[in-house]
Amino acid sequence: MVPSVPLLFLGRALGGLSTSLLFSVFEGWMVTDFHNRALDKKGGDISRTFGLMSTLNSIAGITSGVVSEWLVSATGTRKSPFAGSVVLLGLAFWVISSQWVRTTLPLERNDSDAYRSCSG
Amino acid sequence: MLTGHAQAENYGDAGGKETKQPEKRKEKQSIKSSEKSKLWTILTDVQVMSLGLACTTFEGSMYLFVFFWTPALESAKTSTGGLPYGIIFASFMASILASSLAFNMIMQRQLVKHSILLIAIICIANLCLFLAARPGSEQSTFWIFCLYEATVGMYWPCMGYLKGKLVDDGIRAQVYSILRIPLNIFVVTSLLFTGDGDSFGAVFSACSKLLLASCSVLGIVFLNRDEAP
Repeated sequence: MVPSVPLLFLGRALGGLSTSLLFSVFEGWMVTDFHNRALDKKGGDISRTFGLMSTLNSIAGITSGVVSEWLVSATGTRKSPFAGSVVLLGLAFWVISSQWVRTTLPLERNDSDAYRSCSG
Repeated sequence: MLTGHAQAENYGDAGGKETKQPEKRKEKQSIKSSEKSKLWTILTDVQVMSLGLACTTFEGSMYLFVFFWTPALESAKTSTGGLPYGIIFASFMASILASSLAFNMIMQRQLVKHSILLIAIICIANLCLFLAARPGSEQSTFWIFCLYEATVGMYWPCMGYLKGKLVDDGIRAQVYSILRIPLNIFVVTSLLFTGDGDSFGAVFSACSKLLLASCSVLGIVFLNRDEAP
């Protein structure tokens, strides 16, 4: 790891930016898409979806807490969880960039506003 | 069905290329202004404003909690040796898991309205931070923090649902982003004033007061409305 304060600041700034986007844009997209596809009439329930989201989030949190504890004890340094998060972020980047475009393209063709209002 | 935003965007593209179409430009302007007024109407709606206040105080306290739970636990520590941070974090997440499952059970039985649940959540979070501001034993501090995290687990789905109900589709992303501005200002200002980790007591008690205030505002706004979600 590189012990550099400016780099740490850059990391925080980018992290903050992506957290903000994650909460506002993704949630906005999800609710709009839910309305567009009229999922509530097909037996969907946005409240339940939000609950499920929170559940899955916490499962991911539990797993990462346990894994990071294990990483620290296995490697003997508190820096190793950060290295682990780099791997996970890389994986997320790959999945999002390869999968999400494919799922949003048909929406655009159907003239759905969910994709447009989010991308704009 | 195209939203105002998408239309404005489309006309924005066309306006750049075809400059000889004044009617189109006029239309574009009127759409943009109607979109603005729609945004303004939503933002000045008293329910959305109270949600914004709740969002600022609750999520703000949550971010401050992320900063201060380690020094708070360190200072309450009476046992020897280092604290197992990973396991403690995992227990917090387990509290979130339990409460989000409870949320779905409560909502499936339709025991309470979402707005009432949000008021209760903020009230409990306020109580937790009030207790956490006082020095306590290692065990009690840990369990209070777990309860606090449990309120966080219920807050997200509840707030997500309420915002989804009260904000219209076309301007959703904008409204959500605007609601986050006061939140970020709040967190940055509080962190500027409380540089080190030892001042967690003051931070927790300030947060608990703010939560109490936003809980009262939410109560005034939502409790007397029969049509509240």
